[in-house]
Order: sequence, then structure tokens, then C-alpha cells
Amino acid sequence: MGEEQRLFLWAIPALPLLGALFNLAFGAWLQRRNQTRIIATVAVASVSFAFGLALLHTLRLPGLPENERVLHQILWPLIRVGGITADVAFAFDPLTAVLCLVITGIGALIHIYSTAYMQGDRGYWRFFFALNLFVFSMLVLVLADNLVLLFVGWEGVGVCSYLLIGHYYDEREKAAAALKAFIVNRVGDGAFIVGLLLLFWSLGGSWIVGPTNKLANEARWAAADSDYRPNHATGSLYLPNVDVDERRRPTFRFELLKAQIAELDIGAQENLLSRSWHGIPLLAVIGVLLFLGCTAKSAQIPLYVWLPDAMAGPTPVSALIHAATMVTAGVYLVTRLSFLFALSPLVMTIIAVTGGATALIAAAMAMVQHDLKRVLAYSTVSQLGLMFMGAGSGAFGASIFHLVTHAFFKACLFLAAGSVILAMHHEQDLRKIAGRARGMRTTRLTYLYACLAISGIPVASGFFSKDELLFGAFTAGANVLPGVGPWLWAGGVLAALGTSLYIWRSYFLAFGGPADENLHESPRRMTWVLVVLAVGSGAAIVLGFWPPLGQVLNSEALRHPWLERWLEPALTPVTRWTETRLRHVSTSAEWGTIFASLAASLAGWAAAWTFYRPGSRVRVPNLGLAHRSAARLFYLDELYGYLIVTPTKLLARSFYAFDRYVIDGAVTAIAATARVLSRAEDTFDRVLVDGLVNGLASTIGALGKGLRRTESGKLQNYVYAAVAGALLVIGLNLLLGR
Amino acid sequence: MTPSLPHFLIVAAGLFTFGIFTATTRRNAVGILMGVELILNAANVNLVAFHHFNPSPLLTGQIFALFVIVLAAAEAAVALAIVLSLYLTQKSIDVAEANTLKE
Repeated sequence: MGEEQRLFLWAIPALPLLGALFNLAFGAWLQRRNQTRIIATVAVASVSFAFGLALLHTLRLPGLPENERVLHQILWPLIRVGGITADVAFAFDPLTAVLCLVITGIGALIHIYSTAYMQGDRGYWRFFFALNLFVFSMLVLVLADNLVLLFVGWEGVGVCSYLLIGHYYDEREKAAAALKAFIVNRVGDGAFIVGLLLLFWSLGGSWIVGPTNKLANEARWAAADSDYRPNHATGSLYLPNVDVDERRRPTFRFELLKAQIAELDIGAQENLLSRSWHGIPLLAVIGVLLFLGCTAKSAQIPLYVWLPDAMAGPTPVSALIHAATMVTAGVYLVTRLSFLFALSPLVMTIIAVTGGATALIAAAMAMVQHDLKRVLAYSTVSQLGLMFMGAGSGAFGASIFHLVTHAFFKACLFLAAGSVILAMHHEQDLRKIAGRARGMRTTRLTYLYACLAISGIPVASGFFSKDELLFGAFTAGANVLPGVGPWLWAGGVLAALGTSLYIWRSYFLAFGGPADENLHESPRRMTWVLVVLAVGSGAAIVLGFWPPLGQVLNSEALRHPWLERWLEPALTPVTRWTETRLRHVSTSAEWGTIFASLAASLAGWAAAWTFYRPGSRVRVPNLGLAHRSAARLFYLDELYGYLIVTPTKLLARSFYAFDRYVIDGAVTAIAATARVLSRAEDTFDRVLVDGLVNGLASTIGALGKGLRRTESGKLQNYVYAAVAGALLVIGLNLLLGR
Repeated sequence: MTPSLPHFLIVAAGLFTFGIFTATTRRNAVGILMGVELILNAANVNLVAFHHFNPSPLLTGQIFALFVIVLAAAEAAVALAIVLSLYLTQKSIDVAEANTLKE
């Protein structure tokens, strides 16, 4: 701890946000004046500078002592209610560093690629706005130091995914695909929130500030012998605003959560493990709910149905969001909360088995797809399944390693596919492409290298990362339920076989056949990015090279790959827990697994070469129902439609009918009653009231008519009247005057 | 029998009655004027009779009767002027025709 170092963590997400806002404000105007270069430059520059900043902060991390390897910056308080503190604050530890670099690095490359790919598109500025906003949200997600802010980023990427998938919103199917992605994600979000709140509750969370369950006294806390204890008591530079009390309160912050759960005296761990809900341990419920959120985001069973349809978006979107970044958010979350999941073998098994099953099923589905992008989409689902399988087996470092290598080669695959699709004027069907892209040299070679990576041939990094995952599954031991490990491994090997098959199938079908001279290579901006990504998927070997070799040569450096050593400060005490539970196997068994996976990869290639190489006469056996159901996601879409969509629509319709007939009927009835009443009143008014008035008038009229007859105009009548009056007066006088 | 006051009063009353009857019944304008003269003369008889049977040094009755005669003459002149004007208007002196003030 020396002098105050200025941290610019806030700038890492802020730059893409500013780029997004700029393009939102001025994009349309700029595009109309044909200044798309400014839009592109702003977008690319913001992400590139974010990458630079991430790199700078990453370089600062090694200078910090291992148990404090985190850069922390609080921006402003967000929620401070009772005992809960969730601020807008960023924490930059080794795990976050890796993800930030991947997001901004590959993000920048894809931005550069899209400036050429999206040329001429009507919504050019909209695309870059949404893409920058996405990078911002994803960065918020990985930089967040607490679960609440993470969830903000989590939802943000969901929204941006919706915006980007629905980029061509005037085509109905594409808009529907965007909506489907968002809704399925929402289901996952619901489970996530419930899990989150349960977690908080289980820590003794309440709205009243107070100590949690079993509280060790201060002295014991200070003196507790725990290998891992964050050095917060001194109020160091890195967590300046943490006071002693906050460590004991229920919290959303990862650092503090980890400390609370790892520190047995707090009793949080005991609480989680001992309480149960209808017989299911509380930790399992929380774990499954949180994992459901991950399945939605990372397209695992049962919520993967949105990803194939998401290919309706432009290819760079598929590359960035659905290969390299958004879908890896689930893996990131599992790794971040590894200290929680690792406590329960049941939860780990669920995660691993789900991952393994997804890997297998997705590989099967990828083998029968005709749309090139769909093959790659299912491939993503399958590879993510492998990552979850590794994470569930306790090999968190390996799953992050595979995340990194996968980001490189999958992005390369998608962008190369995009290059082909663009050259064929947006044709995506492999049967139509029929190998004609052979002439596009750079595209073909980078796609070839990426295929080597994904299928697990040792010349590229994919072999090493996948092998780590499979080995992790094989030796899972007590991290999962007993006996599950080897079965996971077997499933993984089968998935590797399938992976190799479908990816080489796609290669031969796209690039195998006689070249078409009319297909020109893509602009240099795009091919340059492809080359960089291909080189990256090769260079990533250094991150994980190579434990088995380290065993043989007895070299410590090789035995613990570089990436796993880098991640260790972020993952303690989990790595310690998981390592103690591993099943130890002999070196020969280890090499056996390696050869098994290599054999699977080669077998897959051989099968693809047999069936799909150009000029092959061997026809693919038609497996009828198996083929058909694989092509239709094993009818999961239909099942969901039957179970959920139809009842929801029915409910909506019934509400509409209720509204229209019952409520509107009531209103109409009231109106009719009012009409009847008003008519009655009108009659009353006319007959009685008017009658009275008119009657009065006519009486007076009659009276007047009668009286008018005295005005006869006849002189004699007037004289009569005068005389009569005189007589009357005299008479009255005589009678009364006395 | 010696005529006393009531006899003269009765005659005067009779004249008055005939005068009223004539004034109210005639269609001829001049006839109506005749009736009016009868009424006035009846009043005169009344006045003179009263003076005769209740004399006063002031000769009140006689003087009054004299004034009535003068006024009767003046009024007859004016009334005949009106009748002439009526004739000039409607070419006849039938009062039944003079009903333009009707209603």
C-alpha cells in the first residue's frame, strides 16, 4: 500500500456507454449525411480504449499481495437500507480481469469486423449503438462487486441481445426470435431473483440491523485461524469504506459473502447446509435457482430454445453475444459464486450433469442442421455445456480457460461464416453453399484452423482446454455425488466426438467442393480480424500449457498452468476445497484420458471426411425419426408451446373475453338504464310540467277572450255599462251608505 | 187632489227613465242625443220642484236649473258637431256601425 493510485475502473464501462449515447444522439443524423465512418470510429474507439484501460488495470494486479489482489472503486451508494448495502461499485480481481480483456478485446475485433460487414445497412447507427450498449452492460456485469449490480448488467445484456437479434425488425420471424430470446431469458431471471433473495434470507438477512446467526465475539473473529481472510480490518486502500460491522451483516457483495461463508464461526455455512425445505437442503434450492438463471443466459437445458432462433440477428451479433460474451455470463456467475456451489455436491452434480447432457444433445442436433449459423449456434450450446460440466466438477479454472479459448475460436468460426454468407449474398444454407467457398483463401484457412481448435487437435488451444475439462470431470471425486465423475467424462468424450463430426461436416460442406470464381474474398478489414482471432486461438495455448506434461517432466511451472495460477487469488478458498476432494488417478490413466479424447476427435474427423468430403459416394444413413427429432430440437419447442405458450394465450384470450363481455356488458347495461330513465323523465317533464304551464296559459287566454267581448266598439253597450255602473253605485250607497 | 212634491218627482223619474231608455236603445245618433236631453230635463224638473216646495232666499234651485239648460244647449251643440264628424267619416249616423274600437 503506498501512495493513492488513481483508479479508472469506472471508465472501462463508461467509454462504451458514451460511445453508445453518442451514436444514439447523432447516429441517424450522421448516417443521413453519409458520415458512417464517424459512427464506426466512435464505436470502435470506445471499446478499444476500454480494452487498453482493462489491460492497464490488469498489469497493476500482480503488484498486489495475493490475498488482496483486487482493485475496488465505489462510485456511489445505490441501496443502503437497514442492513443491506449494495452500491454501484466495481471490483477488479483476476477473474474479472480475464473476462474484461476477453469482452473488450474480442469485442473490439468484432466491432472492426462489423464496420465492414454492416456496410450499407439501413440501421447502421442503431447496430453500433446497441453493440456498444451491450459491451457496457457486459462490463458492468463482470465488474460488479455485488450481486445486485451484477443483476443490473445481467438484465442489460438481455435487453441488448433483444435489440440486436431484432435488428432486422421489419421481418416478422426475426422480431419474433428476438422476443423469444428475451422472454426465455426472463424466465431465468425470475429464478435468479428468487435464488438471490433466498440466499440473502438464509444468511440471516432481515431489514433490521443486527448480528447474524451465530456470532463469534470480536476477539475470536480477529484471531480465527482461517487461511483465507480478506484483510479488511485495516481499512486498506482496496476496501476503504468497509467497517468491521459490515462483515457480519447479510450482504450482497462477493468479497464479504465469500468471507462470511468461508468463515465457519459466522455460522452462515452451517445455516445453508443444515436448513432444508421439504427435505431439500436450502443450499441446493438456492443453487438450482441461481443455476436456472444461468441456463437461460447460457442456453443450457432446459432453456436453450432461444439460441438457435437468435441466429436471425446479423452474424457479428452471433459472434459477440452468442459465442464469446453474453452466453459466458452464466459460466462467470457460477465461477464467481463458486464458494457457494462448491459446498454442496448435489448442486455441483446438477450443474455438471446438465452441462454434460446439454453438450451431448446439442452436438447431436448440430450434426443435422442445414443452416451454417445454426450448426455454430448448437456448437456454442454444446461447448458451454462442457464448461458447466467442468465447473460442476470443481475445475473452475479449467472452465474459464475453455471460456477464453472458446471465445477466440468460436468468434473466428462465426466471423468466417459471416464472410462466406456475405459473399453468397446472405445465403446461409449449407446445401446451397455446397463447398463453393473454397476459393476464399483467408476465410477458409482461418475457419480450418478454428475447426482444428474446436475439435481438439493439439495444434491449437482447444485441445488443451477441453482436455482439462474432461480430466476435471474424470477426477471429480467428492465434488460431485459419488460415481458420477467417470460417467461425465464418458459423456464429454462422446460430445467431443460429436463436436469433431459436426464441425468438420460444416467445413467440408462449406469449403470442400469445387470453388466458385464469382465468390470473392471479403474486405481486408474482415479478413484481418479473422487472422487475429485464429492466431489468438493458437496463442491461447500458453494460458493452459500443460499439466500432464508437467507431471511427466516433474516441472512445477507446467503442472499448474499459467491461467489457473493467475485465477487462484480470486478463487480461494474454493480451489483448496475442491482439490482436497479430487480423486487421484495414476499418470497412465491421465494419459489414457488424453488419448481417448484425441481418438474421439480424430474419429469424428474421419467420419466427416467419409460422408461429407467432396466427391464422396458414401451416403449418410437416414435414421428417420432420430434425424427428424434432432433437427427439431427434440421437439422441446413444441413441448414448451404446448405446456406454456398455449395456456398463456388461452389465459390472455379468456381475460379479453371477460373484459369484453362481462365488463363492457356491465357498462353498456348501465348506459341503457340511464337512457330509459332519461326517457321517463322526459315524458314526465313534457306531460306534467309543460302541461301545467300550458294549461295556465290557455286558461288566461280564455279569460282574456271572454273579457275582450266588452270591447265591442258599440257605443250603446258602453252606455249600458255606464248606466249600470251608476245604478250599482247608487244602490250600494243606499244599502250601505246609511 | 193638490199636486205635491212626490208627484213632480215621479214625473221627473219617469222622464229620466224614458231618457235612459232612449239613450241606450237608439241606433240613430241624434236619437241618442234626444234621450240625453230628456235626462237633463228630468233633472231640471226635479230641481225646480224642489225649489218650489222648499224655497230658499238664494234661489238655488232655479239658478241651478238655468245653468243646466245652458249646459244642455252647449253640450247639444258639441254633440251635433261630433255627429256631423261621424257622418263625414262613415256616411251614416248609425252608431252600430261605429265599432272600429272593437277589441
